Amino acid sequence: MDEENKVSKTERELWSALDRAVFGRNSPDLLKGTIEAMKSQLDRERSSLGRYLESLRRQLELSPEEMALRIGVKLSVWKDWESDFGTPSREEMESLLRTMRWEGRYFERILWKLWDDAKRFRLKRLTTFRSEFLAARGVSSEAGIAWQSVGPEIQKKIVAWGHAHGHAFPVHLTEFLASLETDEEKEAWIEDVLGSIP
Amino acid sequence: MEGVLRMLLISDTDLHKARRVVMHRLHHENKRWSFLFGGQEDFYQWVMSVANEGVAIALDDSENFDPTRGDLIHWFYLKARKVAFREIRQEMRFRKSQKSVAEATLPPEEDVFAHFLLSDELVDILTEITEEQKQALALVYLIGFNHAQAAQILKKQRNAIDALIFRAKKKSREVYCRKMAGSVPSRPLSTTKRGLPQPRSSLSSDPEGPNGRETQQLGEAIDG
Repeated sequence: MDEENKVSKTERELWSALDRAVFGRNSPDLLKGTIEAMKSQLDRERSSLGRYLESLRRQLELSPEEMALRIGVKLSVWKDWESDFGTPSREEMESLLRTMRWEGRYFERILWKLWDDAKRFRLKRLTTFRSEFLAARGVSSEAGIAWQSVGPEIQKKIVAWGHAHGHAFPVHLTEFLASLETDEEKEAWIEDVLGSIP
Repeated sequence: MEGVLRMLLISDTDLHKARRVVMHRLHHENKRWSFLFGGQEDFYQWVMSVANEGVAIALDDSENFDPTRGDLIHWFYLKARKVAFREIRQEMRFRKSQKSVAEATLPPEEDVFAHFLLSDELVDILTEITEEQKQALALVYLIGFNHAQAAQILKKQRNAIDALIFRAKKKSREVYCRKMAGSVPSRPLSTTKRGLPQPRSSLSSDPEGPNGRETQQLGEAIDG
């Protein structure tokens, strides 16, 4: 530990007690598991705009209703944002950052990065819907949800891409997605579709 | 920090709990800088942002965490404190350039019992108190939670925390008296410049005590 971080014997002992209070343990071996679990929670939070917004709302101890009221949007809009079924416009993002006093803070950097990646995330999520999986859970409703999850702007682009490549989307979308077997194929398709988004 | 208790019920993951503890400690020790960040809401958001960044930095750098050299929660706190120092320095520089630093620093609030405890004056009590008492002391005097918040973290009733803190303080009083008797046998406690705080007067067997009203006020201030 650095010189400036030296603590008294009592303080050191209390930090250890705190570790046990928070994590329920502090033996080095068991803490490895705790750290891995926390890293995975953090990665999940930072994997999409919606998940990050949900995490911030929870840290603020606000319900979705309270959060929507606070930033002046409808509850359904906020819920769409949190579930990545909708993405705020640039103006809505700026208003959110201003209202929540996140401008210039760490959150702003993360949120804008995730906002930039939002379309990619939603497309990538679409590629994870599998026809057999959908069939097992009731094709029409699940496929409908999958299709709705990308939003109207990307839907148009997917349909346009389908026309250009001889596919009738969204009717045959699940079959097409099932044909993308490797991660490379999926990434290439996402790039192709995103490339046509201005 | 209102609503903390509700938060603990909503989210009880290790990540959320760690952030909550780091946030509270940073909030507690940086209150004097709150003027740099505007109102209380801005200050709260700043603390939350710093705690999030600090914990994220720590986890991203977790391969460098050495559990034999310190505790995990302390490591998170050190990372977050570094971020806080950096941002306070930036704000101070900005303020100086704006020539508005005159409103600066209020002296940090000092809790007398915490001072005695954390400066190793009472180190001997650590071997004489229970693990639960230690955890309660850590949450209240190291992190700055009030008793109700500490009760939520430890999943206990508020009065159980009152009792744990009361017993730990009572023990510390005994230890301190023993220590004083050992080092300066003839010196009464009331002549010390900073007498040891007494337990909450309503719980104390001798509320007026050897230090009378002064000590009682001291004890109430600490327990508050």
